Amino acid sequence: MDSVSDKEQWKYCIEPERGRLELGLRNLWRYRGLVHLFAKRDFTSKYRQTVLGPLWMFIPPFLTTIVFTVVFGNIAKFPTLDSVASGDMVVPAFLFYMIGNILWELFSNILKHTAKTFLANARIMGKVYYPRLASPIAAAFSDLAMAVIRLLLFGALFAVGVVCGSVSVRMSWTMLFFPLTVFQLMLLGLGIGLIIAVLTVKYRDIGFIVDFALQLWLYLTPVAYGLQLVPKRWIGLYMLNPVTPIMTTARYFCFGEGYVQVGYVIWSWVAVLFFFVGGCILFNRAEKTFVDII
Amino acid sequence: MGDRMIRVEHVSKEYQLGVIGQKIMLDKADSPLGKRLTEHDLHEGRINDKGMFMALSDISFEVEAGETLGIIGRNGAGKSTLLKLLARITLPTVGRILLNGHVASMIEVGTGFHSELTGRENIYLKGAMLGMSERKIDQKLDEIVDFSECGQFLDTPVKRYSSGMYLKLGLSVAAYLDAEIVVMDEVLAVGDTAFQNKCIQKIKEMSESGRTILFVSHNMALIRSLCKRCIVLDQGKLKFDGKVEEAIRYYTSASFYMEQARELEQLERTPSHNPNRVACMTYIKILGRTRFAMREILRFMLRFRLLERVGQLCLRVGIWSADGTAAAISFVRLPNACEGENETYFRMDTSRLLPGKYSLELLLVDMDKSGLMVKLDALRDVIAFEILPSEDWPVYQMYKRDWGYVELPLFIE
Repeated sequence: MDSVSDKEQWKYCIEPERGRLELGLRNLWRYRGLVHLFAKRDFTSKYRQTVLGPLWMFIPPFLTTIVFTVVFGNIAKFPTLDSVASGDMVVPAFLFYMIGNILWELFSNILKHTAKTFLANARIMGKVYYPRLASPIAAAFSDLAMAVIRLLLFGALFAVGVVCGSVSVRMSWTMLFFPLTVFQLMLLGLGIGLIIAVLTVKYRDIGFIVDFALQLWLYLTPVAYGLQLVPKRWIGLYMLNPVTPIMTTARYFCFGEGYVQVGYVIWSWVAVLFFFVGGCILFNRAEKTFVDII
Repeated sequence: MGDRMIRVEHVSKEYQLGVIGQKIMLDKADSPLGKRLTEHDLHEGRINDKGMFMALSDISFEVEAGETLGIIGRNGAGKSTLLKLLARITLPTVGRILLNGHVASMIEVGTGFHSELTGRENIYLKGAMLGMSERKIDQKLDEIVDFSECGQFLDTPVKRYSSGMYLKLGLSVAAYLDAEIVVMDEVLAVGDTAFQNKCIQKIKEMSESGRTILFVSHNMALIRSLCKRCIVLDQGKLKFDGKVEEAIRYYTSASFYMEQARELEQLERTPSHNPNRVACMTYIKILGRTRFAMREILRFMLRFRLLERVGQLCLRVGIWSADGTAAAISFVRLPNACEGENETYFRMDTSRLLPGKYSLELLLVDMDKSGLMVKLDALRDVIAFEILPSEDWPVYQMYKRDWGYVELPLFIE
């Protein structure tokens, strides 16, 4: 056998894990068609053989929003304000809960789907090679598509409210920045999901905690209530939850008022990038040989 | 020709023994997998000093462009692990693999189909998974559909497909891959004969068009018809690399136990076999010669132990020919078997078997009233015998491969 020097004659080289970091983004780009098809598959196969079909996209967030409006808004009388209103504008509770729910659903769905990447696809991944990252990314896009459709419905309700004059908010130019917060939520969901996916390969226990942790997390995030409910002196601690600044910023962009502080926004971006990059690195380490363990 | 396509350099693959993750399980001897492997494999030196199981150890070989390489070996020899390494599904522990082309794996062709999607959607999905672009699939869609014989069901969700159709569709997509290297693991084990022949034809075409193919199969006839060169894996080691006929001869002679008698108690049982052994075969002895002429009868003695009374104990004997196909089967009830040690003498009418080497597979089964059989103890390649060609019918020696293994008596009325 010749020495290492003639490695150049070969196109591909399969070697043991050396701890080197190759994210394989170029390879992932080569497989973008697959990402697209995976996303389409996830999205379109969900509502086959149902009577209501695509209506199911709207029913869950709609019902949750109604429940939130009744329970937290009307019975518990939680404020649906992130800060003391600057004028006489009050965001209607229904819209307030709806946007929060849609965004939270997006985040928690991406996280849950990503966390299950290895377990759900173990059979396929054990038989065929493709960039493993294609699966969670496709799932994230299919969840995004769902969220976009829901947001369109939200937009329609919002517009109807504004036009009919029963809603005391106006459309604001800050809306243009709204997609940024959606993108941020996606990255965070993916990042944390990837870390959990890697851990569940060896320790299935973590998979069981995810649902419970997400539920708890929901109540630590201003989705069912406005930020105003949180006592002033706890705000600093409360804002450590990276979803909170994203959520309040999203509502600010959406309604043109609310709570935005540059410091917290920067903190949320730092946290998001930390989780996302960290998740990608861990995932990259694990993907190569996870089929041996799972 | 002459271009190297694949080079495998000193590749080894280790697997962790036992159940991973829980501390208690790390004690290998306590875990079921660890125990099953250790009994046999410590003996064979297949567990290394780190307590890891060596699925492959120090494998090296090269494959030229356009070559079809057969890979044979018994279950657990490391064939599938080797293919998984080549397909990048997992990485080797030591060594490296150099490739000069894209690898497409056809390991279990039906995987990757989504049951809610239609046949057409699945073709695209599967194609993309194997590295084909959407445009490429567009171009080849008609051919794929044509080949799969599933045209009229193309827009039906694949969950309504029969298992045969499912497989045909999977194979068809894979057959039209444009990868330079294709690895196949027992892809033709299922499907009807006509379709199988079509696939063999297709694989030959692929090979002629310059594709490099690695083909794993237990079916020696298939290996023989598709490959010129073949490697034999045994216990994770490369035991033979050379011409296909020699490889098959090597493989079959290695698993054929041509002795007069054999102790059976310590032999490794197949994994699927019931572990709380109600019955255990302990000893077999061929009475008379192990090589005998056509028209003669095989006599043997079998000792076995029964731990408890069994409803209806039966012995099933599979007769396997040297090319890896089942040649015949025998079955007998054992009404006199009792608890404890048994010694039974058998006489098997082998007079109609054609000349050649045969290996016996023995199964002790419990048959209930409805005819359902429960395996109590099973062993493959227990002992072998050889039937020598007789002077009056020398022709049987020459064409046996195409003629089957049994000669039925024919009389003029």
